[in-house]
Amino acid sequence: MNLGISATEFIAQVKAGMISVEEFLAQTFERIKKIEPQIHAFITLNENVAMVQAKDIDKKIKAKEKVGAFFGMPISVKDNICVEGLRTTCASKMLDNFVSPYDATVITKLKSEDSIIVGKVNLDEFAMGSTTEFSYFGPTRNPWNTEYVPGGSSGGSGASVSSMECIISLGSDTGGSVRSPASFCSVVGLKPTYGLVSRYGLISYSNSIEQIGPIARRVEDIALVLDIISGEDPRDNTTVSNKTVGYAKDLNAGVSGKKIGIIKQMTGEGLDKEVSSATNKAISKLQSLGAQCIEISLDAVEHSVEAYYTIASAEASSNLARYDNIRYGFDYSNEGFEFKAYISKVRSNFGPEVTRRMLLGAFVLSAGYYGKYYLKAQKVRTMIKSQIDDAFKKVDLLLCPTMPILPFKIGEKVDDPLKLYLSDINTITANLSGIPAISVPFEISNSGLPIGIQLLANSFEEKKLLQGAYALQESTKLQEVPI
Amino acid sequence: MIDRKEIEHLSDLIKVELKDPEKYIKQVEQILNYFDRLDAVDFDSEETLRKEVKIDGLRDDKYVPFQDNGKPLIDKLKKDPNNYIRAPKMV
Amino acid sequence: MTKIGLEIHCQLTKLESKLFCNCKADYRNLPTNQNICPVCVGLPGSLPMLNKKAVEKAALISLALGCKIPSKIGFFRKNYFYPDLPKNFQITQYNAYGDTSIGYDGKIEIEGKEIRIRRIQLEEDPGRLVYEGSSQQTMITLVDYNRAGTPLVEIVTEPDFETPKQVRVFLNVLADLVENIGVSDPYLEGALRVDGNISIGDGNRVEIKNVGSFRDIEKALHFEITRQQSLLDRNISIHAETRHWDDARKITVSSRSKEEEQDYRYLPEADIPIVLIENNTVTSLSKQMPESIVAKKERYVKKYGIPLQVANVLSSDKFYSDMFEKAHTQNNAKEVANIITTDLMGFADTREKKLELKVTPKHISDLADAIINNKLTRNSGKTALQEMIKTGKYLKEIMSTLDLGQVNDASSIEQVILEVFSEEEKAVSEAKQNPDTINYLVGKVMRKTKGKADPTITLEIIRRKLLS
Ligand SMILES: [Zn+2]
Repeated sequence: MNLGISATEFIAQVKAGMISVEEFLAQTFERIKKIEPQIHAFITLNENVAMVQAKDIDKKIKAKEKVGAFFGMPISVKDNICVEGLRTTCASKMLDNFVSPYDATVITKLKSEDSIIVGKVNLDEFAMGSTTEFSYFGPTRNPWNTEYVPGGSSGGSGASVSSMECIISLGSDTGGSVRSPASFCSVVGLKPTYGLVSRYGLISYSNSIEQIGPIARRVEDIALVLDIISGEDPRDNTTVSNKTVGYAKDLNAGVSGKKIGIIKQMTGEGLDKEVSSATNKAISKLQSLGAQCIEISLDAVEHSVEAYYTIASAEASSNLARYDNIRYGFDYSNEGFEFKAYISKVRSNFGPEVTRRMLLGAFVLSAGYYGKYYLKAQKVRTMIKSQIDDAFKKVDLLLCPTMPILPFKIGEKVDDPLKLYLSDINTITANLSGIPAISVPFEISNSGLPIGIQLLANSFEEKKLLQGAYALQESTKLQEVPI
Repeated sequence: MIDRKEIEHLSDLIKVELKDPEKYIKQVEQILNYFDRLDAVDFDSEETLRKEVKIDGLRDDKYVPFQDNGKPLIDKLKKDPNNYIRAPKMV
Repeated sequence: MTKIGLEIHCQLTKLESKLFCNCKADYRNLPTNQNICPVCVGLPGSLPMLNKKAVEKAALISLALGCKIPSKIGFFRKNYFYPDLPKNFQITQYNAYGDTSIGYDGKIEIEGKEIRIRRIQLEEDPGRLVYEGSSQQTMITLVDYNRAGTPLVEIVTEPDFETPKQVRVFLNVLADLVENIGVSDPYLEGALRVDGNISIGDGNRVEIKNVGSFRDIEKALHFEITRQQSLLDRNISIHAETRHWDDARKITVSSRSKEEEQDYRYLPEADIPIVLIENNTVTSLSKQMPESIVAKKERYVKKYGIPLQVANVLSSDKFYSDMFEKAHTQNNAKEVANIITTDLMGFADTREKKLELKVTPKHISDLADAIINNKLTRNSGKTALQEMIKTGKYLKEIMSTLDLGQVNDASSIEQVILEVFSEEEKAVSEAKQNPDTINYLVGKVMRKTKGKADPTITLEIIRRKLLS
């Protein structure tokens, strides 16, 4: 049985009775158990429940009863998205044994279409990081080379999809957390427009910029998931009503006659040589398909790293205040403690990156500094968005490599936070401005490491974005993951 | 700018006991220096990217009890036999 | 010169659900921690959903206190750690980065003095802390989150009060006002809570917190004036601090902790969009705004000729003025007001008694009509009202069972007068000399008729008889 089929193929084959859901899931878990010691994508497995659901769906299919659109498709879920009855840890000691009493809205929607959750996957603690090394449960490894980081923070999502431990994964993207692992693991990852997908049940890190986004091996699978998880939610007031439906339709519309802007600041100096040549190759491919490529300058992105980390740290310091181990959390009695002493002690269990960002956040929000940091960072957002609006008056899509560098070795940059922050330069623009962006696998380096190309569209233009991504995907044929 | 005293003040604000304050002093200072690049931002606009809603877009005032398979939420939290949450006292 | 400012927290008790979730707004008398959900207990992943009606009610308070309402309102997080705060921040409003709270720059006149309102903000109430046993013995505090997230409006005044008495008058007016506009029931425990700040002369500002009851603020302010004055008299400077009201000892005590130096690190609450308050919203709220107490009082005096004193009492009590509105006609208004203020209000003066009251507007209106149509004397009216209070029976039934109908046929009254005249010869001759003593005879007739004789007719016949 081929576990590497796409979501579209899975649905078609189950529908046609060519494969049984039970068998597919059983083999999926077999593979998970076999390769997990090398990859470590999962924090929690959901095998028992998943197998019962699989049998149940097979029964329904046989009885010709109504079955949801996903027909038992195995998905993994980043462990900062709440699934009722499952541990939701955020890869943190602070939520080590927190079992969510409710489903995130995206989970409710996926369950109602008969998706099967195979387990919860690893991330940087509270999604803060871009390598998945800052997990309380240890790092996830890149399936293309297990010495290397899988990107992050949704590294478990990227690795589990790339290594065929599931067909689809849900990640979250605050500053590139879906696109970075997509690029490093050679899979597709979408950060939707802010407000397109409900955040209810996504554990907040930087709530003004983050979105839940799907990771899959194929662009068409991303479209299928987006059709299900997008839409206004009465539990999330930041969602907007958007009438676009049928993201999966007309994906092959092509790019002929389309204008694509190459972002000057993200394709020039500072790029890894192989990343740079892959980008040029992608540009020529699109041109050969009839697209017109022009250079677009967004000089406001010069300030994006400091603006992004100011906002993210400020919001993180507030969002993570609730973890005081009093209402839920790990076992540690508070008898005999004074309040502040107790919470300061238990909160010292946050990892170094989370602690760093909370310290930074506390600093930038301190009395007297609001104007200097937070307010200025907000101005950068407006400035970037206004330049992006101008750009989209001239072009349909924007393009740049997702990551300016190739995947690097585990441990290589873990002690240099600023250097890591700077590698987010190409992804954070979409978060700061709220626009959608997608990473498409495009090439494998000479050293056998994946390179992804990022496309960006204006707000709520996911349909156009997916059509561009599909064209790019079809323009190249990549080798299979070695694991 | 970031010294021992400042890092202790910050750690008190976020209520995290720091095991290795020296390490954080250096890193926080380095990153904040980088943040100072924001000083060069010269862009004046009252606009924000935040969503705006009319008052009718807000939630209707309706009582709907939280249901979790008929079980009260408190059963999922750390509680004492009388259903209270036990917290250390603020002195 | 004494300057006093107030911060008043007013719960929006007339709402069904909490400020950001669908749990019950009325948390009182519910079993411990049974009125909670992922949102109000701050579970990871939950998001606040702002209650539309809470915004409207807060806007109503703002309008009633003469505040400006901005075209856009926003929410902020006030970050501090406390056991009663499930998220370790409170969602509130904040104006330091631009006026985005629901109301600002208002004023209200109290006994000829203008009190300026600095701002009005909508925010969430924290949970409730319960101390186990003696608070000294244990380091544990028990938390009940049933109240967490219930809607609260904070009203901040400028330091415009000069005496504790002005504060009391203002708070009474405010309590009447929030009840009158239907946003809060000020008699519920904890529905209206007051903190104060006070400075004397050039002295520093001292905050007074933890004043449990609404009435104790006057006492606390008096204590503080005396304390600060005696320091000034001895040339000791007053330093800025927060003092807590010690209810047992009736004194203010300096707070030991340095929580005043807290840095709240205000941050815009990105989970709640900016809310547009459009002109038509304000217009329709203004229309909904019930008549102010002052306007109501004036109407009672001008339209119905109700005496000022009575109008004053009636207009400021929401429960009884509502009853008046339903019971009165142009014709009987004065009598209805009279019955309510002299007989009924004294009887049912607490919230509980009001809630249990069996007397409806119809009872009062029937009674007033009977009195002005001379079917019942005022005296019998009182008796009938007692019966209504006791049994809830309507006037018709009471009049037949208790035989209260007014005797107004002249010949039967004359019959009784003749009896009285023969029994009270001495009084009759006295009354002939001195008409002032005539009331004694009237009283005798009343007693014989058990108060049913029409007093006007009785008086007229007696006068005539005395002249003959
Ligand atoms: Zn609730």
